[in-house]
Amino acid sequence: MQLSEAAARLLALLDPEGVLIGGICGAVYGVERFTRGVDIAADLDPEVIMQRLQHAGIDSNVRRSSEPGDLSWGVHGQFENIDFQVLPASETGISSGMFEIRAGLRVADIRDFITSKCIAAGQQDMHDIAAICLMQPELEAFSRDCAAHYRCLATLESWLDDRRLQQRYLS
Amino acid sequence: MLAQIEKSPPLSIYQLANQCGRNYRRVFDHVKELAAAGLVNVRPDIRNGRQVSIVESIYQQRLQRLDDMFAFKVKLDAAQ
Repeated sequence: MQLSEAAARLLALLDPEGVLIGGICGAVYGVERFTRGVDIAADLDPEVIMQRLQHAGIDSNVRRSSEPGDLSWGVHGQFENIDFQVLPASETGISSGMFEIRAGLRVADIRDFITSKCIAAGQQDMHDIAAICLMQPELEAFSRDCAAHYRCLATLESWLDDRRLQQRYLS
Repeated sequence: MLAQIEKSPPLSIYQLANQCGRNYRRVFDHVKELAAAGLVNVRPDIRNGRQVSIVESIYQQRLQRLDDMFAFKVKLDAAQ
C-alpha cells in the first residue's frame, strides 16, 4: 500500500476530526523529504480513536505521559505495515476547523502546520519550516515569530541560512 | 476549475467535467491551458478498459513523489 493511500484510509476513519500533519502534510506543501509514517492530529479521546480503528480491524495502543513538555497522549499502531500515530490536535498547535483539502486529503492549514513543527522543534521540523519559508517568503515572519515563541528560532535561522536548502527551494 | 482539481484525487477529464457541470470539450481545452502553464499534469491511463486522460494537481504530484520514495525505501529495506 502507498503511504498516501494509508493516510487517506486512516483519515476516513477519523473523519471529520482528523487532519494530516507531519511529513505527508509537509510533502503536500512542497517539502521534499522522506517520511516513513502517517501523522494525524485529532480532537478526539484516545479511546474513541482506538475504538474507530478497532472497528476497521486496526490494532493500536495509547501511550500517555505526564512529563512536562510531552504530549499527554498518542495513539500508535501499524496499518498495512505502515506506522501511524494520532496526536492530540490542541496540544500540537492544530485548530479544529482550520484545514485544507489537497489531493483528496484533509491537511492542516499551513500556519497550523508551522506551529506544530515549532512545538516539536526538532532539526527535521525546522528543516521543513525553512523549506516552506524559502518557497513562500510571505510565511517567514510568521514562522520566525512562532519559532521565537517556542524557543527554536536559532535552529530555524541556521536552516534558513543553509546553502543546500536555499539551492533546492529558492526558485 | 484549478481549485477543484487541487482538492481532488486524480480524476479523468470526464469526471472533472461532471463535477464542474460543464461541457467536456470546454473542460478539455481549459485543462490543456492549465497543463501548458505548468499548473496541472495530464497523463494517459486505462480505466474500465478505456483510455482516459487523468488530471493531477501539483499536490498530487508531490504525494506521488513521496509514495515513490517510500516504495523505494521499503524495497531497499527488504533487500538488506
